Amino acid sequence: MNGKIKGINSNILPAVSRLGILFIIIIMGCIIDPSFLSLRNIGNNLANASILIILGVGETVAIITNGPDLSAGSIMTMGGVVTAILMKNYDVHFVLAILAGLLVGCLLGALNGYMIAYVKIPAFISTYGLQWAVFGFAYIILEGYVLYSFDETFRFIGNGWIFKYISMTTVCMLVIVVAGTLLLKKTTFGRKCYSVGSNATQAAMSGIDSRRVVMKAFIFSGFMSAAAGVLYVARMNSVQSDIGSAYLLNVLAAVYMGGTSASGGEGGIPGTIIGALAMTMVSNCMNLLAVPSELRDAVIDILIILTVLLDTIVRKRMMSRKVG
Amino acid sequence: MQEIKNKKLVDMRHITKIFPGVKALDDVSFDLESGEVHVLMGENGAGKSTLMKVLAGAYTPDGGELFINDEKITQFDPVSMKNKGVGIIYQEFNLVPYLNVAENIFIDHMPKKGLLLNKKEMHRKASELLKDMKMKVDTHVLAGEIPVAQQQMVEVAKALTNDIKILIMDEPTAALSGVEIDQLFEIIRSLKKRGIGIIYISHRMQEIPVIGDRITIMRDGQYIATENVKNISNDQIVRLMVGRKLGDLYQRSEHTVGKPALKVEHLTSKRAGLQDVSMKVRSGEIVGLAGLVGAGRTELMRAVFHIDPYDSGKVIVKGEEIRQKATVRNMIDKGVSLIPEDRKQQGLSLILSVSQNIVMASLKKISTGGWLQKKKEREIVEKYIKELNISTPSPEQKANNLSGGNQQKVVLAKWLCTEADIIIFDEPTRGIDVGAKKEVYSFMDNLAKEGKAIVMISSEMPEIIGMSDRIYVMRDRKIVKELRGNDVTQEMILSYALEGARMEGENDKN
Repeated sequence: MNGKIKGINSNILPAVSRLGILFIIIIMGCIIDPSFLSLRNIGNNLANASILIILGVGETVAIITNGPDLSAGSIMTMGGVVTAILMKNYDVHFVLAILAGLLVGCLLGALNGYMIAYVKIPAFISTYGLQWAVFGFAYIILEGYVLYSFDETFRFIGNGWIFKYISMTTVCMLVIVVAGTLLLKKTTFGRKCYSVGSNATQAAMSGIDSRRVVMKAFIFSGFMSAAAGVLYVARMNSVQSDIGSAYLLNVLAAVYMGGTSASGGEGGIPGTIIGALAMTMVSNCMNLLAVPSELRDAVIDILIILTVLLDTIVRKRMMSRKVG
Repeated sequence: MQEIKNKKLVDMRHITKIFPGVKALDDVSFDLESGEVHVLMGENGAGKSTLMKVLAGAYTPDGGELFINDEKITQFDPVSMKNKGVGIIYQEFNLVPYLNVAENIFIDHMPKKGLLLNKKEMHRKASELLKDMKMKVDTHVLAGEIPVAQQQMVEVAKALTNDIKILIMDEPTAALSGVEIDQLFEIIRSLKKRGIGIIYISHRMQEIPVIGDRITIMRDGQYIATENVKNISNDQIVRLMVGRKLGDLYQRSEHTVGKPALKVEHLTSKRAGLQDVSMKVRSGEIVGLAGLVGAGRTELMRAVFHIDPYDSGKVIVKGEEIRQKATVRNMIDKGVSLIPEDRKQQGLSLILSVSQNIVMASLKKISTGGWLQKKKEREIVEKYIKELNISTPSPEQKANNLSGGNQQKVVLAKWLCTEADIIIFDEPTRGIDVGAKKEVYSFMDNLAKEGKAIVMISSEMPEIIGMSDRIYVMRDRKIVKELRGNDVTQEMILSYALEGARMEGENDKN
């Protein structure tokens, strides 16, 4: 009977500790500015967090299955750039342009997957390498220009608001979050991701072809990165060749803060959402307090370390309570 | 020479070592004199390695006393044991393949000149050492690039750089051929002359009279006997090694043997070293695969299960020939299961839940069109938890939080869940206690009664004899003998499994 309580705790406690941190951030926000919890501010925060969350959905799947996708920021850029150029310079209909952008994301993801699963280059190295190649290529095809002012209907996807307080970016994010969660938790593919990530030897003995699983995971990650890029362009109404570079460390931080294990096989999208929201709200607080930008990265770093520290302490205590 | 020979280098008295649930060493006494080769023999799991790890400082004993050079040892750690003159050469080599021979020999105390390494001095000393051993090896060659036999010699040289008085060799000839063995023995003899005492662990019976002075036999963590090598025959040694009575642990009920379910014909794999292996298992039959560690049993079954590739030969499942390029998935779909020995590495994902682990090899069964049917999953998982009596607070519990015996049951459940007709067990009872063993046996018996074909790889002779309808004995990556009937004895199996103990095993291979 004691075991029953333990069984529940071991799954839920880490999530509780993360929600706790989110709650503390919200309280701090309210102290700084009473309008922190106004519908408008919540809507804004959600919209701001959305792109990070979408990137995070792909990154979570990649990390659970194999290892970090460090090319996420660059594929995001490429997805946005391809969509923007097709619309602006070639007058392609925005739906087709978006599809092309997403396709490029999938292809780059497949290239990552191929290098990792079949050529056996560690994810860290192959995706890091691809990142610079893609950033460079994006710069070349943009010829260093900034493209701006796009089709109104296209911009609505990122910029529009429905029911006054809900941004269209948020709506897209919710759809993607639901789809990603279903994929990880309700499909055999998702189950295989956890299997391969937690113990590849065991997965192979169970008849799971880990190469195909890793390949698909990185295609998924590439697709999500490109989707984030398209939304970014629609939301900002402009694109240049470095839009994704600021996102890479943030998305990794959001995923790891969300409890997805760096060694794979553990974690999920709900945690990533909490991580992304926490980071976005802390930025919001710092905006309200007009914290100088030099200090902001430091504050976020401290936040990440604190979360992971708390997580480690909670886990350790659970372990020591475990009956051998 | 007489006076150094009588000096006692090592005196282990009543050593006891307890691991959770197992008494690995139970009141074992052992001694070693200078200038002698003391052979240590016993079946796999008899406690030889544990005893040697105590002497090398890797384990601290829970009871008993250890004297080295009449000095009582109180602190057990590898460094202080090394300083006392204990050297050990493990069965698996510890050379760094990317460093050259000289660097490997002096790995833990490379000669220095000021702050820098004195490479010239190092190579000079190393080649001197090797020359003393009558070895011709260029000390600048990378250790990974020299033949296995020479690597073994480098290991010996490495041990000699520390001023050792006691050298433990764990199956030093396992990877060597005839001439190389003679070379090694030559070195051992010269070490003896220098007054070094050698503890020699080996499964090769024919080596014992050639190199050994005394022999100690262990069984089930206990000391059995010490004899002068001249006064003991191979048959006596084998009898002392097994000498156990079969309890009623093993119960086989009435069962009917049907058609061949799995046939292996002339399977050959260069990579795994398998040579022209043929065997078959019929439905309702339990077939034991006996042999020593390294005989190629696991490798054979991995090739049959298509985890590792093979070069030629046929695998036939229920009359259907399997493509050579088939995958593990194909084999599972055809109704074959392989329950691996190493549950933590190969059998389970420890950080995943009991439920996720149980259905891992049968995802198709619990899904439609790629979507998991949670209800179906829960039903199946609960069925197996009940059937196998797995003690877990909930199906969502992480496998990591279960005891070893229960983890083993989760692995069993995972492979029963695929509803295979042919089940291969690799060391199904290793590391679990007697109670759990009995459960596994009655389980296997039930499966055979249901008409499943079962292959059991096991190094435990009583288990092989008690459970099997037929027994294949493997040695050196070949099946050397098929045994059947009620009068199979442990001595018979062991004599075929040990090289050279009985030669007719070579000729009447089935």
